[in-house]
This record gives sequence, structure tokens and C-alpha cells, in this order.
Amino acid sequence: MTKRGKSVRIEGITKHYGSARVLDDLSIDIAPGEFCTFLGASGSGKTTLLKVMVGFEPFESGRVSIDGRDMCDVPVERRNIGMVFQNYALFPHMNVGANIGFGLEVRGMAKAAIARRVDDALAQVGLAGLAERPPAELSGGQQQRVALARALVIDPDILVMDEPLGALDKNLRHAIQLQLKQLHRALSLTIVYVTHDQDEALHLSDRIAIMDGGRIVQQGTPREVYFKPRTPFVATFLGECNIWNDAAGPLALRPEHVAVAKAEGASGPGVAVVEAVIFLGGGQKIVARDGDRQVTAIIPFPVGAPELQIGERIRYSYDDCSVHRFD
Amino acid sequence: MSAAVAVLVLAPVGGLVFFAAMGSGDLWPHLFANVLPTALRTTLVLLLGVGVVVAVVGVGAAWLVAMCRFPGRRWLEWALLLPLSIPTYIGAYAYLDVLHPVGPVQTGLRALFGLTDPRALWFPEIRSLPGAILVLGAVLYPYVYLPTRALFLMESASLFDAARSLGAGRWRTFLRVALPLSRPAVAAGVSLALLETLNDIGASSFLGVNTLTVSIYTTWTARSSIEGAAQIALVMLVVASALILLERRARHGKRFAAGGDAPPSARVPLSGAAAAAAAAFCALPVFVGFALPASYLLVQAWRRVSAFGLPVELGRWIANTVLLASIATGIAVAIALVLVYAARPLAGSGGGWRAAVPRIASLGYAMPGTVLAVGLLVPVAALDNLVDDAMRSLFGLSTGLLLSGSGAAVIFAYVLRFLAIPIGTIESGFAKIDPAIELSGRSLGAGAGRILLRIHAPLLRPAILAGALLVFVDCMKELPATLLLRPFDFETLATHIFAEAARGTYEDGAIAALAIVAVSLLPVAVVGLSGRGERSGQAFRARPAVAVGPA
Repeated sequence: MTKRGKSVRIEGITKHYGSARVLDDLSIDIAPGEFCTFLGASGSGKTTLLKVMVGFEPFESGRVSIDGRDMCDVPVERRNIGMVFQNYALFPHMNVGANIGFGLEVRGMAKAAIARRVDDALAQVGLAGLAERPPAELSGGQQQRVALARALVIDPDILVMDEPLGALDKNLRHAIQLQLKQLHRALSLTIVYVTHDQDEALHLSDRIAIMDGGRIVQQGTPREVYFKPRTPFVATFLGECNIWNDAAGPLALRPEHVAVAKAEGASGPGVAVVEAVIFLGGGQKIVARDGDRQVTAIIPFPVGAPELQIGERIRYSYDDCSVHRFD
Repeated sequence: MSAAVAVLVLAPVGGLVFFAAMGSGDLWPHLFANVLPTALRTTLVLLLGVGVVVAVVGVGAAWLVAMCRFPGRRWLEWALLLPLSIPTYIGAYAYLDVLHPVGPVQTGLRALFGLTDPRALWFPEIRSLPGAILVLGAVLYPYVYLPTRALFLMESASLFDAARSLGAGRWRTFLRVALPLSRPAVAAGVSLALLETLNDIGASSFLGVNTLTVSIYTTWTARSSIEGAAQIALVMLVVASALILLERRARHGKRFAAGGDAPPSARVPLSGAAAAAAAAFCALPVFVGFALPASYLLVQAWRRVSAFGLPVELGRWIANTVLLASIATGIAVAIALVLVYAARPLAGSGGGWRAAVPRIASLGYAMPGTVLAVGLLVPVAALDNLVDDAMRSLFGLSTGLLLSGSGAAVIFAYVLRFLAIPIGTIESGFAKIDPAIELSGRSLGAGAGRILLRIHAPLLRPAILAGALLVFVDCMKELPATLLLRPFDFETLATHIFAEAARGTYEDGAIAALAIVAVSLLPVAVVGLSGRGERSGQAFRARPAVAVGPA
């Protein structure tokens, strides 16, 4: 099962639903073995792009190639793309083993060999011994892992995942994210991932492509897109961000880069009035107002010092090198 | 109230047993030796044949229309519902004449081959068991098509995507995933179609197929043996119960709702021969089940009108039909509303057994019209005599047969047979109302009456109207129970068609038949439009069986 994933090239894809343009001349290259995440709000076109890539949706112009080969005339069932669906889409009339073995059965593999591969795949996702169970008897997390095993067992050229963790609770989501990361590295898989959850995108991806209105508005490593957002939209979509205007134009500043000190009685530039104090557990978020500028700061919880109160005056400051200017 | 309705629904069964027990004497050996075995065998073969036809056509068309793209698909998706508007007896009525040796088809074929002698051309006989299977199958397949298509569109779309992504082609996806998944919908649809087949009296008797229903009718009318009819009816009740049990078993534990709300992917485009074959497969049932019989009726009705004008009695037939149907509709909807309202989870104490009453009250849809008629005769006649005796001894005047003479018995039969329809639509209407709405109403201080008037009544209005429309149309079309229970010399549109067909004067019945088809198109349009709006016919998904109703 250890082979390198294939590359994907999307060139100039345009697609309409009726008169609404859902994909707008979209292009991206995904390298072999890369973990690439499409991140966007609902309606941004990310799931449609995924379906175009897999072959479920026709499109008006452009080209999808896998490993350098044009997929135009290749139907879904010949593309060898493993897909994990948002709702898992496990066949309810087949047990877990039959679900995982389905793709191998289609490929004409002998029964004994299928049984062996199914057992291996179940062990790989930590579900050994559950082959006989109907999917309905499994928990959400277990169903998710069966769906993953079913997609992996066919030894896919690309693994495509559509919001696969959306239905799970937070702890489980983090555990599976970790597993996924390990699988990705161990199997050198090319993974194309779709989510609206920015944290998930930041945790998992080699590269994030942020989508809006059927276009990719920015792509890069998680660090790049987080610290060097190209537009205010990207800056605010990926985590919280202060967007201010000064003499040089708009600037972006992450709340964790803003320092805050008590400033009783002071006034003038750099002084703001606290409007809200939000306890975050690991720290606290201060929302304050300096004229028409809203200041958001995330600072450590004070140990031994008095807490900030609403209405109190603070002086806020930041290091110039943490200020980001849009291009 | 709830208890009273439950007793009333079960009354016909009591009546049947009473009659059947009374007449155990001389007729039974004759029935057992001569009538029953053939009638039972014929009925079973007919059921089997119709079952196969409706399953193949219904599932095949649903799959093509839901999952593939081919020329005419959008149009056919809707047109495939049209045969719902052709009652079985009207379908048979039309085909008898169309395929008659001097009818348009055979005449045309002879002209084509240059033949003059009507006997020179061999043509399959429509008055036969295979003929009946084809005609019934052609008008009943929508019962399977409708729920199966909804299932393919709503519940299983992402499963088909999953199968394809794992490498399964169209056929394998159909055979390994779609077919097993569609089982509950197909079971429900086939059982409804078969209950209709069992209920049918017109098509079988026009086409010379001696089913159990036809035997009941002839035993009652020709032999005047109500006991013999009751004995056959009991056998039929066993067959109907067996059908229901089979359906339950086929659905057992198969309530899949796995797909969730993922929107289905784009349909698989078909090209060339495959596209043509798909279009033909979907167009043929529309043609056989609707286009041909409907246009035949149109031509015949126009000929009749242009030659002799409208029949003088037409107005009376329509008035009779509408009168019976509207009274029955009003009663059925009112009863359904009360039963469902009493059975809702928030109704409070006693909800346990009250929740079961709508199920019991719905059993009537499984009772064929003839069975219902024979069973009702005992309670109705008993009541008539009771009233008559009482009036005579008290006031010295005879009331005669009040219930059976006034058409009340027909209305009673309609209500029992079709009560399942408004119960179904109103229940699904209730299911869409979040119980929290009622709770919030109560927490704001509204009492039960105000909640019913201000919250439930407006929200349920569409469901009530839909139920009323469906019941009304089904009452209008009803033939077997009307035929047996109507007052002497009382004609409705349906019984008039039956009489004309029995006389062999087909063209004279065409106007009445056309009127029934035209009214029956109303609910079909409603189903078609609602299915278009949300791509599914969601209203008919939860209980496709009852929502569409026993026609």
C-alpha cells in the first residue's frame, strides 16, 4: 500500500448552476503527496470543486488532469479516487466488512484476499474485529473511520475528503485529525480536503486554498496565509484580526500581537476604553474602543494582578514587525 | 369517539363472518368445488403478474429518471405519474375498444397489410389474463415509481456517489446498492398496486378474468346468494391480509435513512443507443398507461357529443357522484382530524392506546370494496330494520330501508375505505410541526382550544386540503362498493361506465369516463408540482402508500 500519491492539476474550470457562477476560471496544482485543503464558507464553491475533480459534476470549460492525464473521458468509477463523504455514505444494507471490501470486489479481487485486506484496513484505523457489525450499530467516530478505511483500501491515487469531521465532537475531531496526519505521512497520500473550519485547515494542511465566490482568493502554507493575508477578507476569515487604517493605508494585526496595560486617567492616541472582557480559559480576550477603531487583544490571564473591568482605560501597543500590510 | 371509530372499522369483518356462518349449507360445496379454486388461482396469477410488471416498470423508470440524463427526461419524470389518473376499469374499458377486431389498431394493421377479412390478422386477445395483467400494470406502476424515485433522490444519492467513487459502474451500482436499498419503497408500492388489483372489479370483469372480486359480484347479483358472496369475501380478506403481512416482512427492519441531506450529484449523461433506450423505457408506460386511453376517450367523447349532444342524464350522474363524494370527504376528514389530534404525543393521558387508533382506522384501505360492501350489509340492514320496526310500533309508519335506500351505506363504505388517506396526510402535516411550537404556545398561556384554532389549524390547512382532495377523487372513482351498496336505480359516473361496458356500448360511457379522468388529474398535478418544487415529492416520502391513496 505504500506508493506515492498522484498529482492533480485543475486548469481554468468554470461552472454555472443556472445563471449563478459557482466556479470562476479556477486553477490550482496539487503536488504528489501533498495535503491540500480548500477552505471557505458555505456557497464558496469548495464542494462543487471537489465534485468536479472526482467527476460527479460536469463543467463548461477547463480541464482536470491526474498524474498528467486528462480526466475528461474518464468516468468517476475509473478514476481511482478514494472519497470520504460528509455523512460517510456507508451502505446500510452491508456490514462493515462488506462496505470496506466493496471497492475490492468491484476490482475483481478474490474473496480470501479481500477478507485479508479488510482486516488489515480495520486494524489500521483501530477498529479490528468489527467487520461483522452493521454500520448503524457504530458510533459516529467509528463510522467515520470505516468510511476512511473503505476509501483507503482501494489504494487510491488521491484521497478526497468532504467535511469528513463535521459531525463529530471536538475531542474526537482532534484525535482523528492526529490519526489522519499520521496516515498522510506514512502512506505518502495526496489528500484533497474540504472544510469550513479554519482551525482544522490550519492543523492539517501542507497548503490551504481559501475560496470565495468560486475563486481561490489566496493559497499557501498555513503560516503564509495566516500571517500574510492578501486581503482583509482572508485575514478575518482565518482567525480573528484587527483591521485598521492609518496614514499608510489598511493594516492587519492579530489580537495575540497586541499588548495591553492599565492606563488610568490617560487619554490620546493609543488609549482605549474596555468594552468587553471574555474569558478564554488559556487567556482572555479584551475588546476595547479607541475612537472609531475597535481593538481586540488576546492576552494572558493576569496572575496576582487585578482583572480588567469594563469602562477601564487601557494603553495598547504592538511591535511594528507584527503589523501586516495588504499588497 | 376514538373507540367508536375503531369499532365501526371492524364492523364489516363481523358482518362477513356472520353471513358466511349463516350460509354454510348448500352453496358452500358448490363454491368450494367449482368457483373458489379457479377464482383463487386466477387472482393469484393476476397478482403475481401485476406485481412483476409494476415492480419492473416502476423501479426501472425511477432509476433512469433519478440517476441518468437523456432527452425528454424532465418531461417524462412528471409524465410518468399521469396513469394515476386512469382508474383500472377505465383503462380496461378503453383498451377493449381500441384493440377490438374492428377497433382502430386492428383495422389499421389490416389496412397496412392489405387484409380485408377481420379474422385474417392474428392479434393477441386483450380479453385474457395476460391482457388484464398488462392493462392493470400499465395504470398501477406509479404506486411503485413515486416512492422509489423519492427514495433514490432523497435518501440514497450520496450512497450512489460512494459506490461510483469505489469503482462500481452504472449496472453494478444499480444491482448492488440501489436495488437492495429500494426494497422498502418497492414493497410498499407493490403492495398498494396489488391491493388495487384485488379491489378491481371493472377491469377484471370487462376483460373476462374471473377473479375473487368478480365471483363475489356474480354470486351476489346473479345467484342472489349473499352468504356465498360473504364466504368468498372471507377468502379475499385472507389474501389481502397475506399481502399486508408480506409487505411488513419485506420492509422489516429496513427503514434506511442513511443518506442524510447531501444533495445528489449531477445525473450520469447517457448517449446514443443507451439514451434512446432509456427514453423509450420511460415513454412506453406513459403511452400505454395514459396517452392512448386518454386520447381514445377524448375522441370517443367528442364523437358522441357531436352526434347526439351530451347525454340527458349526465347532470344527474355528476350530481349523484359529487354529492356522495363530498359528504364522505367531509366526514372522513373530520374523523381523521379528531383521531390524529387525539393521538399526538402531547395529547396527554391515554395517549398510549389513542395513538393506535389511527392505525386501526387505516385498515379499511386494505379491504377490497366488494368485501367491505358484503360486510357492511349486515350492520346496515340490521339498523334499517331496527329503525323501521321502532317507527312502525311507535307511530305506525314504515321508514323503509333508511340507510341502504338513501346512499348512506355507500358513504359509510367510502369513509371506511378511504379514511387512511386524510389520516396519512394530516399525520405527516403534524409531523412537520415542531412540538416545541405547541409547548411555547402553552407557556405563553394559550389553552388547548386556542392552540388548535390559532396554531394547528392554520399550519395544518395544506395537509387537510390535500387529504380532502385525494379522498374526494378516490370516492368519485370508486366502483365496487358503489355498485353493490347504491340505492336502486341510482347511477354515478362510475356505475354508469360499468353498465355501458356490460352492455357493450362503449362509446356511450366515454363522456363519463373522461369526466372521471379529468378530475383525477387534479391530485396528479399536485403530486407532480410538489415533486418539482423540491425535486422529490417530499410530502409523499414518509407514507407514500397512504398519501397517494388507494385509488
